[in-house]
Amino acid sequence: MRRFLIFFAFGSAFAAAVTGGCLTALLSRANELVLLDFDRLVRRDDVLWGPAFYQGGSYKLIRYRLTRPDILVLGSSRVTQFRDFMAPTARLYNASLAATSLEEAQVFIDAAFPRHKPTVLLLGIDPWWFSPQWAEHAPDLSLNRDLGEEGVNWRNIIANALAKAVDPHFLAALMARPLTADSVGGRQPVGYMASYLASGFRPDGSRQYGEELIVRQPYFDQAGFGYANGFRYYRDKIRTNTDRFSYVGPLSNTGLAALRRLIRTCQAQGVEPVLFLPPFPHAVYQEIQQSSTQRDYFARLEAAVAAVAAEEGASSFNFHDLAELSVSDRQSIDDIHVDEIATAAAFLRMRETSPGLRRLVPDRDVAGLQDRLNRPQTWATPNILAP
Amino acid sequence: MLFSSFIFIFAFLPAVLVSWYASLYFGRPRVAVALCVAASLFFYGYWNPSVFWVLTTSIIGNYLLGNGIVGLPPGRRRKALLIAGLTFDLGLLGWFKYAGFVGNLLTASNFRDMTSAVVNTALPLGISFFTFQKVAYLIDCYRKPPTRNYSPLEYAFFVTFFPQLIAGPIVHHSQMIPQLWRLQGTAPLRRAMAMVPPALALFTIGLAKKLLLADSFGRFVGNPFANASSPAFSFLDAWGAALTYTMQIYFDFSGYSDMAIGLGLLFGIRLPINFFSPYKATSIIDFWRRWHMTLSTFLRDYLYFALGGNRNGPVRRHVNLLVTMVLGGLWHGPSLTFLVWGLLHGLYLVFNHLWRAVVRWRMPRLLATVITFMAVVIAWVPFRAANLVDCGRFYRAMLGLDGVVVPSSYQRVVEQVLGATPPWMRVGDLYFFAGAQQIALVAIGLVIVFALPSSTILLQNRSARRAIRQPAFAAGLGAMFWVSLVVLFGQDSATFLYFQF
Repeated sequence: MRRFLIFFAFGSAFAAAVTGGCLTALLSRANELVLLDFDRLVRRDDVLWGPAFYQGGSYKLIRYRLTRPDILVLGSSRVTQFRDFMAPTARLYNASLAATSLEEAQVFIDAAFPRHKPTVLLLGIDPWWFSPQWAEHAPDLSLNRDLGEEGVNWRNIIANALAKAVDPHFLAALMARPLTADSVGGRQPVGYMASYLASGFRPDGSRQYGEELIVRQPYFDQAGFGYANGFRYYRDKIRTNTDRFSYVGPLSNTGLAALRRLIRTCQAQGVEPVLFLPPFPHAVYQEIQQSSTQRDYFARLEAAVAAVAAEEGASSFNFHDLAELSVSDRQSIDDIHVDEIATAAAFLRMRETSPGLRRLVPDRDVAGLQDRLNRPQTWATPNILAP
Repeated sequence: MLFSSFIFIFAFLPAVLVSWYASLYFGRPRVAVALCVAASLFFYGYWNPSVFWVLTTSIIGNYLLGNGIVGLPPGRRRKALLIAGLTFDLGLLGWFKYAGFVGNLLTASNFRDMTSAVVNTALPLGISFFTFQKVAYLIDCYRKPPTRNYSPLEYAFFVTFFPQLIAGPIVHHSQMIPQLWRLQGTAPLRRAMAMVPPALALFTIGLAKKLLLADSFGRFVGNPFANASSPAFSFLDAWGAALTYTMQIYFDFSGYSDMAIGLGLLFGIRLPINFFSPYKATSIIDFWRRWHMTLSTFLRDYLYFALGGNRNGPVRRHVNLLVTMVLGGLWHGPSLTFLVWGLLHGLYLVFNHLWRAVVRWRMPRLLATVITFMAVVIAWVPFRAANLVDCGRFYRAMLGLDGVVVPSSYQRVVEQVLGATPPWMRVGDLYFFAGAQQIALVAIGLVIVFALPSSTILLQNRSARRAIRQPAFAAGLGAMFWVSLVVLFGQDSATFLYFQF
């Protein structure tokens, strides 16, 4: 028995050395080991934050506390393009991706508000948040898993790295492509996404979509993403009621109750909640209108959000159709995400009626942003206003 | 507490093993058994302390009832006590597991809801398993009492021994309790020590089957089964999901059984083999001699024989078989989907018996194995489907009644094989089939299932036991153990499929 146990232990030790070595090499090559310096990096204002294996909920919360914003933007990937220069007199922080459901939005503000309260909360609401099925899937997409933790969750990193370590496409990309600098913003890349794809969170919490907009990946065209491909990918999903568009049917009462609770939490703490439904490209919204299942769901949803907001005394904006902001479909990142130009137009529209935004964004700031929007030659790229 | 969890592997198990061997070393087998019972109760209560009373009440009640039956002379009072005991056991099981099911059948507004499984969060874990053990004990007390009276401690050990408490094997009291009588002296200590290598090997193989294989298959199963009603659900989605689930449940249950038997062996307790390469079966009759063997034995001995078995002619025999399999199906869960699964297997068995009686031709082994395997795959669909509407949709897609959608990347391969794209095939997107990755994984699973021997060979074959002591094999097992731990580290939790039954 002793001989068996010795060789068993030897095998374990050998496997530990091999797996540990491979994992370290992978994380090092992916520029993820820099997270060992998390405490210092998270405080720096010149980095592009793009770790691939790290759930970013706690990062957003720490940045929120450091920024102490007057305007907090909260929502999913569909609100990532709000930038601090849109409100230069005030402080704006974009906690996009820290909330992929109403429940997660509540978790975030419950964690955030005790340390600092913004004046205005801009809450972007996704259509699928009101589907009971979404509540089951949302945790898989959540960035908030590590919200309670102040540092790096290495367990998450190792778990995600292990999952990627058996993905041949990822490994091939890692081996083939040299590290690239952030060619647009010139920020120091942190993590795989920032280093290899120029994608990541800027210091104001907004996301630079380098992968889609700057170093455009061939798989976007293959899949049929975006304006260049007629938004084919998600139009197919809409027609077949699949993917994000499988979440249809009756609205969840739990979701509506969660929305009321969010509004009341804000109001009780003196924060003005501004609800908005982020835009879809006009072509995508038209596809939605042509499907009776989707059209009915969207109609119910838009009416319900407006009704809850009115009953609770909050302002709400329905931007689902990008054309209503007089913005071209070219101002999109892909089929369900719009760019900075479209986002700036929505921001200006909300500023017209929100008392908090009117106070924080004076007329001269509005004029400055409007002027920038009117002069495409000054934009950093066709989809990015400023580096 | 899962077998595949750090707290179990590095805290609970070592603590219980140390207490067990220390007690045996100091010649205190009763202390060893008592500590193991206490640990097993802790193990059970760790899941959900609020239903702890169900297990303890059931143990006390059944022990007293069993002793009462043994103590009475044959007659009406003895039979009445047996009926009271069975009513108590099956009543508890029925109340916790099937009350919601019956309520749902009566109140559901449509067929989909009526055939959907009712989730009962208050269901005491393992109740289906320990109820069957106790039912067998009571019936044996009535029919053929144990040769020696069991002490309360021995009875409690038989029911609660943690390796088999939650999901089997369904151990018979005559298999377990006599092993406790042989714990006196130093011989059991030496015997148990000698079994450590195969025990550790079985536990490691089981852990790897669960974490490296079953959970990998599981990643491709949830999405298609959740979207079977989608208009985009098609032929390859359905077959991909059915085959992948076939692999998932195999490695999940096989892994659990290996771990349970390995854990038992670490204590020097032999648990019955529950799983013997079932997909290698050459008939459905053979399949049920290899899959969940302890359940099959229980159903045969205490249900099929009780219904009359094959004593009353072929028609009655087949009816008994169908009833046994339908009830066996419902035992897995309170849903009509499980009933259909049991019914399908019942029909398979009836057909298999008729075939044997009527057809003289001996089918080639390979063909028999393939047909049996496909029949099992087809039957897993209702077992996993959320309801019978989805199940019907699955079968429709598997039969290609909505056409066959092939992704554009496979079009060239199809055209090379078939000459041109046939009219019933169209090129489009597949939403619930992961393509090459899923195909490769299923292929690996099939190779392991069909080409490798059953891990239980370690229990049956002396030369296999000698082989695992070879340095390369032991080191390989060690490496497998570590890799499994690394994967476990990356998981939040991984529950065994059979825990829900």
